[in-house]
Amino acid sequence: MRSLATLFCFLLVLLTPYWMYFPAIILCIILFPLYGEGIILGLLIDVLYGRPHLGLVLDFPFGMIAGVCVLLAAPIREHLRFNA
Amino acid sequence: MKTNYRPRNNRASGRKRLTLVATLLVIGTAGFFVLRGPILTGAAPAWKGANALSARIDVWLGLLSSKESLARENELLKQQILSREALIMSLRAVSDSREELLRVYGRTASTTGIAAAVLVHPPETPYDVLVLDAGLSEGVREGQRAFLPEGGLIGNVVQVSSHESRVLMYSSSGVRTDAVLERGAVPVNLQGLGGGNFKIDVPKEVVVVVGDRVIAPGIVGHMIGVVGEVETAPTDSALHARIVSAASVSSVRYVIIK
Repeated sequence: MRSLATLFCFLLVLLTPYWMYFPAIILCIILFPLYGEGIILGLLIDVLYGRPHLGLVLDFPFGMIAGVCVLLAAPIREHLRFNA
Repeated sequence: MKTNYRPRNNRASGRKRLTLVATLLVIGTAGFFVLRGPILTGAAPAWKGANALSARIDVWLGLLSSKESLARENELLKQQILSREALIMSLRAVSDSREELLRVYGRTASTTGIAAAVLVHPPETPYDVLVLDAGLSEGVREGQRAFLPEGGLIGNVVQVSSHESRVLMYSSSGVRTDAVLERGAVPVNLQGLGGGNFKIDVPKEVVVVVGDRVIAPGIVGHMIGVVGEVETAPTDSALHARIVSAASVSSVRYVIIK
């Protein structure tokens, strides 16, 4: 399921507008524990579509945001119940 | 005491998580930074395929339209073409006389450029960035300017790989560009707002009318945008104008790099 979701997000990044792949990646980060693939996808977005030459960290804002989301998602997930 | 549950150790798992994310970020950033050229090259076939499929789907969807709606659309398009042709002819006379004048004074206005197809445009790209199918092999270099086939100036080349390049449009959020308001030759500073829009702030005494052109500084004066909206408040000392880019960011198909 996780691999399928990652593949789906990867295809969304390549082929769809940003308002489709951002929410999809955020949703996967919330649903799946420690979704490191989200960081890789964020870095991919920066490489494919980002604005270069702002500095090494600033060249990869979505990767950084994805990293922060992964860290923040863990305590949130602990308080979410996905089954009755 | 023996327990049948494992006590949670939040601090250790939190530190482990942070270490893992930080490691992934550092290695991933370095890796993607080094491999950005090959990644762009690898993604290009997917974009080309998607563009071709999208064009094919548009043709099929056209077949589903009713005959009447197609006839109406055809008539409307014919009228638009006729009026545009008349406008082009009148503007061509002006352009030809200007080019002749420049030639007399030893300045050549037009130079041939490199034609490039747009592989990805907004909203696929979150910023106003265009990815083109021409790169170092085709003669594209960083810093070159990107023009519409019709002549409008839209941005600069900011990154080049072997067969692809990236153009940052002047309308990208936060980008500032020097320009000239054609009416009155007033120098202005365009601030990109994203989505093909800019804003300028000028003193209230400056006359700005909707439809005024904003051009690049220089002897040729390529068009950058058109004033779309003007707003001011009675207590405000400045006049704020919204400029719309010469290019429709979501439908740019070809650019000229020179």
